[in-house]
Amino acid sequence: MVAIASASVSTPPSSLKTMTSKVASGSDQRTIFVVEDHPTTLAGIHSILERFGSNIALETLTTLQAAREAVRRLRPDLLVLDLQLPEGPGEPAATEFGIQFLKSLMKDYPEINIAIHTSYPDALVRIIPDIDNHRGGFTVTSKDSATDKAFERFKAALQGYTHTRDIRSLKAGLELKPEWLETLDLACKDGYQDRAIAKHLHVSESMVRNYWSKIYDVLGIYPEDAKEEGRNLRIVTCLKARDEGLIE
Amino acid sequence: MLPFLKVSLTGIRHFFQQSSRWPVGYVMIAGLVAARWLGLFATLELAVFDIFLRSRPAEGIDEQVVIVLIEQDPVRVDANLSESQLAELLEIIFSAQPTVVGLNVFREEFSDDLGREQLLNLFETHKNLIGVEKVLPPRPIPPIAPLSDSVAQNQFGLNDVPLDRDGRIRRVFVGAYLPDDNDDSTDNPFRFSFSFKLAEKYLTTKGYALENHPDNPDIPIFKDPESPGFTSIPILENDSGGYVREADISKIQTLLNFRSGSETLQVIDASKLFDRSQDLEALTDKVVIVDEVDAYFPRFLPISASSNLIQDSETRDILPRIGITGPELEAHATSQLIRSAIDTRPLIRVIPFWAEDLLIVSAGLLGIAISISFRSTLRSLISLAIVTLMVVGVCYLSLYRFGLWLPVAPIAISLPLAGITYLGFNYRSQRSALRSQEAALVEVQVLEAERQKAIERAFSAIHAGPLQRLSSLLRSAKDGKTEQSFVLEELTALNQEIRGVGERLRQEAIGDVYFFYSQGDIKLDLTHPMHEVLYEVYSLAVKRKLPGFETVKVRAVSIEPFNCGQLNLDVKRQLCWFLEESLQNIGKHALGTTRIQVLGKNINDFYSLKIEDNGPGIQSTHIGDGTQSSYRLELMLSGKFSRFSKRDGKGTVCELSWPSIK
Repeated sequence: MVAIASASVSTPPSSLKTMTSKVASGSDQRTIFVVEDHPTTLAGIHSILERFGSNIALETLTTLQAAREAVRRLRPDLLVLDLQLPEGPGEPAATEFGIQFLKSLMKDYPEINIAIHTSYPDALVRIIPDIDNHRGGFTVTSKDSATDKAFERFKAALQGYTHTRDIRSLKAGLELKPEWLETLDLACKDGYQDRAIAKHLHVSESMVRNYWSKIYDVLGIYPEDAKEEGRNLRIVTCLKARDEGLIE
Repeated sequence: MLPFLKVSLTGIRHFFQQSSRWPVGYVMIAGLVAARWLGLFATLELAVFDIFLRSRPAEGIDEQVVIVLIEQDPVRVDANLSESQLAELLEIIFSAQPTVVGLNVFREEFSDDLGREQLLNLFETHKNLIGVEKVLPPRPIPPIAPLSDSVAQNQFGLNDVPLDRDGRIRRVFVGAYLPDDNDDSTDNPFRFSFSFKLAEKYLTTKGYALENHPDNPDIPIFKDPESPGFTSIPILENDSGGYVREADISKIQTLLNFRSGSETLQVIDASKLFDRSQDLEALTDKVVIVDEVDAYFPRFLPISASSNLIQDSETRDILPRIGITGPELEAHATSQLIRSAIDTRPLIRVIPFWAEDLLIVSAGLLGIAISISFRSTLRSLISLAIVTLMVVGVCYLSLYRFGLWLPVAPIAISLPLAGITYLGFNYRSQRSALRSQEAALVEVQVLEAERQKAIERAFSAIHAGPLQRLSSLLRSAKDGKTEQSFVLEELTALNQEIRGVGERLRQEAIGDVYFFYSQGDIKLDLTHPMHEVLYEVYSLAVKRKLPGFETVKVRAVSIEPFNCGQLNLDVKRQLCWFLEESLQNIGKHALGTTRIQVLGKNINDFYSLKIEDNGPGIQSTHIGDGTQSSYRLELMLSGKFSRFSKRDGKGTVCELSWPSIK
């Protein structure tokens, strides 16, 4: 994992502009909701988020009800979410509640940025297809991860990137949605641009950009790194895809 | 004796328990008794009574009673017999020394006919000459006059005829209380009937004595001089037999048990006596009834008996058999009394009304008993018919042999009717029995299917887990990979897996879960949406360490949501198993596969689950157990399963599609 701390938060890659949340107030002010009921963990998350500096508006929610209400009121730039949560105050917490909340959240707000911070990342395996369909940022961090790593993932999510390798587990080969493979084929074999690919696949251009973000995740390409090294992101991707046998 | 009684008591209790479950039969019987009480059966019962009497075998000619018939010419009235000619005829008859002579001829009360003196004289001199009178309204006809009081009282009988409501004659008077001016009928003068007088005169000359019944002074009896017994004459009541509150039945009447057949009485033409062509011995010691009959149009009374006057076929064609003439009626009535005393030919008796009702109820219960004692409706029906016929036969015989008039019509209706209602009951209970049998059968089938499923599940569990490991171990052994540590590791895993199978089956049986067996048991919650569950199965399956997966570079996976609310747990499990097995096959057989595609798509009204690889394709035509299970799943979903090699021979496609539920 390469640190991306130096990347500017305020200037995301142009291709990801639409995916980042609308700024609530002011140009640099970011709204972050933390949904977590465990005080100790909450303190840990707060300490991680402190690294974002002063241009952060933080709101903490301890139940799913409160979280649902808050998101309806104001769309945050990032939602940091534990999975084991209670529905209402005083009620028992369960991973299943968190999963259900996450599913409905992704359905209602397909472009919201989400960072999952959980002890049981495996619970997400079941909804990988939903995560794959999600158009906003989505990263997963295990609670036992180092602070640095967690910060990077939160930040990546805020920027609209996807990082789900932790839950994709140790399987042979790469798992892609058929649309992504088509996108790769069209771009790398036929040299099509996003607009042309979108037309070909009968989807929006922003959807194609979303596909790319997913493909980067699958191939383990980190746009910030590639840019820093001065490489063309698409070409790097095509090369890697060919290496991995995604393009025949 | 006691055990038998016990058995029959149990039987009766059983019978009532069974029949009371369907009380319509009881209602029927009660309804019949009520209907009979209301008189709805009266006409039918009387008609059946007539038919029974008429259908008895012929009895032949009565030797005791002779009719002397004077033919009247309706055209030449002055040619009819004058009173002096009548007296002359009687004198001829008396010269033959008959036992008793009945003159069933009416003449005006007062007459200046020259023969009147002779007639009166005959009555005074012959105590065995009986005359007739009519005493009942509408038009009484007194005896001829002037006669001494004793002659008028002792030698005259009434020949009024009681009619039934249907206009027919079935009963005759034994005697009657003459109507008088006051309302009190007990002190009214009593008169015997003409026929009774004749019989009485005849029987007294034979030594019989007329007495009153020791228990009921209303009932006349003839006492046999030589035996202690006596012949009592059955007296009709208003409700006797088939009669229901028949107002015309007054004291004292009895039913007419006419002689059956068409030649029952000797009839002598009076003219033959006048011209002496008739042998007079035919009248000796007989009851002679003298009467006038219209030669051309004899008046027939509506009685079921056959007239002696219509014998040859010629007249039979002209005159319909509509009954018998007056003298015949008197002759039959006299004959039945004499015969019952001398020959013990039965007079017609009835049983008390309560006994009749009891018979009807018993018949109904018998019908019910017959009905429920047979399982087959047809048998019940046939038995009912047979028993009904038998009962009717018994009723007929009792009338014929013993003169006992039983309520045959209500019995013959109540027995089969009550029985038939229970046929319905039987049918119902049979149907419910059948239904419960069917239910039991379905249950058995369900259990059988459950058993089948359990076996299949057990097998697929073994197939998906331990057998896979075993075959890969075999393959390794064949390839010469027999390091002890490897074999030991594999065997340990195998041991674990086999143990796991049992646990998995046990838990699967109780919960809504699918057990994916890998290094540790993983439970998949089948209450989650199936596309998610299938994705989990997929991601777990491809994690397996199988030779076919080693070379995989790309997995294209997309499982669209589909409606799975209607799928039962078993189908869900089978779907999971189908996906697991299909991927397993790739891992096992499709060596060198680089790309796996798992696509779940809604296509029109179908949902299609397709598993594709780009391996070597299907190499053996052998249909494995896995494929067989897939065909079973196809059946359960009423869908379509197919497994084939791709056209270019590069890869295998395994597809299951089924109609999606809206």
